[in-house]
Amino acid sequence: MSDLLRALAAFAVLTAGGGWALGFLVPLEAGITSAYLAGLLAFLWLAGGGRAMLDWVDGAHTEHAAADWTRFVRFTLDHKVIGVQYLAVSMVVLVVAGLMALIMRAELAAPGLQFLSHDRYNSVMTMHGIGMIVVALTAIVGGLGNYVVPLTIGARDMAFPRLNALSFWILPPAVLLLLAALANGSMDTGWRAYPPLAVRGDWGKLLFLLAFITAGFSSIFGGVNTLTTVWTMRAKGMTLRRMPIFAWSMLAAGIIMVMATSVVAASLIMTVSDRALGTAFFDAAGGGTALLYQHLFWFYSHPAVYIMILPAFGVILEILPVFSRKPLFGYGLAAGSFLGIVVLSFLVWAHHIFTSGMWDFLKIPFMILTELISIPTGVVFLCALGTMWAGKLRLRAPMLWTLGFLVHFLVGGLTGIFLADVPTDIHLHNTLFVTAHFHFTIVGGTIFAFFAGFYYWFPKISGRMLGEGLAKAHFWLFALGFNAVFLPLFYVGARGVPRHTADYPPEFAVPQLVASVGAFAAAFGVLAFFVNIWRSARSGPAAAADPWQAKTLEWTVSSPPPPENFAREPEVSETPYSYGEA
Amino acid sequence: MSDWKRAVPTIGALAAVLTFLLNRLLEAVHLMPLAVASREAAIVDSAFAAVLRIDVLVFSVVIAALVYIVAFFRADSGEGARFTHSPGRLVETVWLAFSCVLTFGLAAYGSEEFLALRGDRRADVDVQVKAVQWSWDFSYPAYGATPATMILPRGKRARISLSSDDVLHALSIPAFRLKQDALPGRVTTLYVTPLLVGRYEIVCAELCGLDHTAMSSTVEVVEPEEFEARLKGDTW
Repeated sequence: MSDLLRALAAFAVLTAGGGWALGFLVPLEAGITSAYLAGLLAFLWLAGGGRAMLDWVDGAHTEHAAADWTRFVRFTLDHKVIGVQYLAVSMVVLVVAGLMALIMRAELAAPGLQFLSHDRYNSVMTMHGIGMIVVALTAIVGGLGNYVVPLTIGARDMAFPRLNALSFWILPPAVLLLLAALANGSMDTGWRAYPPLAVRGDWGKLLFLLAFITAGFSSIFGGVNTLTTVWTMRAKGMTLRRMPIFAWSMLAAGIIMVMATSVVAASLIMTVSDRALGTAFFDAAGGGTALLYQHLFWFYSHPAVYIMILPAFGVILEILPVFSRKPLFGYGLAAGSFLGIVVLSFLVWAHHIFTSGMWDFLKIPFMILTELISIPTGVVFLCALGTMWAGKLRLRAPMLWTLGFLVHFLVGGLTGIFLADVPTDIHLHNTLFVTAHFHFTIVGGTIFAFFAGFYYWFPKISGRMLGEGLAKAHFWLFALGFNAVFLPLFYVGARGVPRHTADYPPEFAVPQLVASVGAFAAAFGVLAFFVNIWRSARSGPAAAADPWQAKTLEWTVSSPPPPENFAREPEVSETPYSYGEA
Repeated sequence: MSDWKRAVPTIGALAAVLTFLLNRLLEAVHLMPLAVASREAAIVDSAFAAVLRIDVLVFSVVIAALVYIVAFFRADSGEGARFTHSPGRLVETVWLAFSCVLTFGLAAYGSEEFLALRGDRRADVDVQVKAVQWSWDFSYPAYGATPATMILPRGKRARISLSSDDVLHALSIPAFRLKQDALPGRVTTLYVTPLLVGRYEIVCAELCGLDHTAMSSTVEVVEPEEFEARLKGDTW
């Protein structure tokens, strides 16, 4: 704990004080950038990375942190602790960014401005956006992924435990920096930070960009680690065809994390350079072009939605056989579809910028390629329905959220066709229809799957069961509230109301009010979720090693698993989905 | 295979009812803007309606199957889970073939509608629009006119040339179903043939900073004679 506090203090003092002091010698933003890099390194070193590094230099073994709860606030190389740390950080960000959503919905409950200025609204919206992007990218991948992937493939840890710690520990400074960005100047760019807007304005935007770059590197490191772990650390006998489908989905997501994230990091670094060093990559007056950023940005940010959704596919396809008591239907097709999505995800970015000023006829191939993604995505639905068909469904919490995923992601996918189709997209682009669509894919997809996975693996992680009643309350409040928010916004958006706006014409007062009420209902659902965790931590019944009668390897060890996971390296001789014989 | 004898008609009936109800509901709600004020708006609306029909059908079939599964394949139904791997290949192939046909059909239809929407690049009227934080300036070089709102003649093809002096903006006219970004350092163009006399809203559809929310204006579609009179005279 004291390590962490010392590290945080050093980070704050070096970044703020150093930035201020260097600002007298070099341009202010160049000073802040250098000071932040120094602050980040000091934070990593003092938080415990220094000791791990010296241990490595000396060839010594870095001991696992103590067994009590304090290990969760310490620097450790244990993938299970890092997984829980990721979960904790992503839940904190979920709450902060969720409160931002509530502030926006309260403002939008009636036409006219209620209590926010345009300036404040823009800032709140930008923070909600980037915060939820962080949640969608880390909750499953960083949290559940870190915890479950080594266990489910029969490994003792990730392939690169130090890299794993690094990718986690640069995330909290990035989150703090994001919040600090609010302290100076308005954040009026949205999370996409398109130049020239992102190059103008106060240094708050620089902090935002630096935080985004840092989170990006966290993701790149995570991707390298996941990819290597799944590829090289599988237990004896676990051929690719015997690999749990969640591991397949993390493998696919890992490929995108490594290949795409570096591109957004480059585009953000170019933006920082335009601000801090006076270059003109995106400045027309200096010979640059603003449109270049959008191409680079979406070359990452479209694949990024598959970093969010592929592991979600993995989670629900992992849960379905367990709660249907049947083998996974179309296993090979599902794994192949994941890889197909990886390839296609890199070829569709320009559908985000049909109205940005690109060459007209280039829109046609991007439209066709985008629509092609519906084929591998449809396969996931086939596998889900096929698995449940003639099964014996147990509608426990993980299964409930999985069914919720199927319904909402279906709506998200189908409404995406309007945005892939050039004629309809030209009208719908940047309206609230888009907002509704991507919330149906990312919340309806990734977040529903995250909750499914959380209810599924929580007994393994904590050793305690969660309450089924509160889980159901969570589900129904969240699902109904979520629909109440975004179904009306499809209508408001299709009527032509643009997004990113603090106000709207009075004729849309009723659907907007419904959306605001829905947001608060969904928030109460999330509250039930946290109450459930708190009650389980205090007095939840102990979880058996295999409370769901599942067959993947993580359920063969105690709940929670011992350090190093497996006393003896497991050997695998069949697929993990051999249900139904009994 | 007794499952299928009961399932196919049940799911089919359920899907048919759902499709009917949803289509009725969506007709009543009317998702697109009420004014169809340009040639382009009619094309976009027909594309939207076509995709919506397909979406409703696919949604209904999947939801009907899900409802059937949840209703009939429960753990408390008394039987053990039965499964066989044999029909897998067939179902997989049919599903893939069906989604390929649907996808390529949609893509072909979308391409055709896009070409129709794009129309030809010849224009009767030239309008220059300059976007600045946070307002729109309109000018008509042929007339030397700079009216406070955009004025377009009904039934004539207009070329709208966009540029920006500061950040990105987007000219969006929902009644025309059209939208185009304005960028600093280059000129982008938009073609439209207004068909309905009236006043329609212009909004900014690209986040452009502080007062993005308030960056709106008006386009007036008038008869060609009135257009000439107003731009040549001083009545703008």
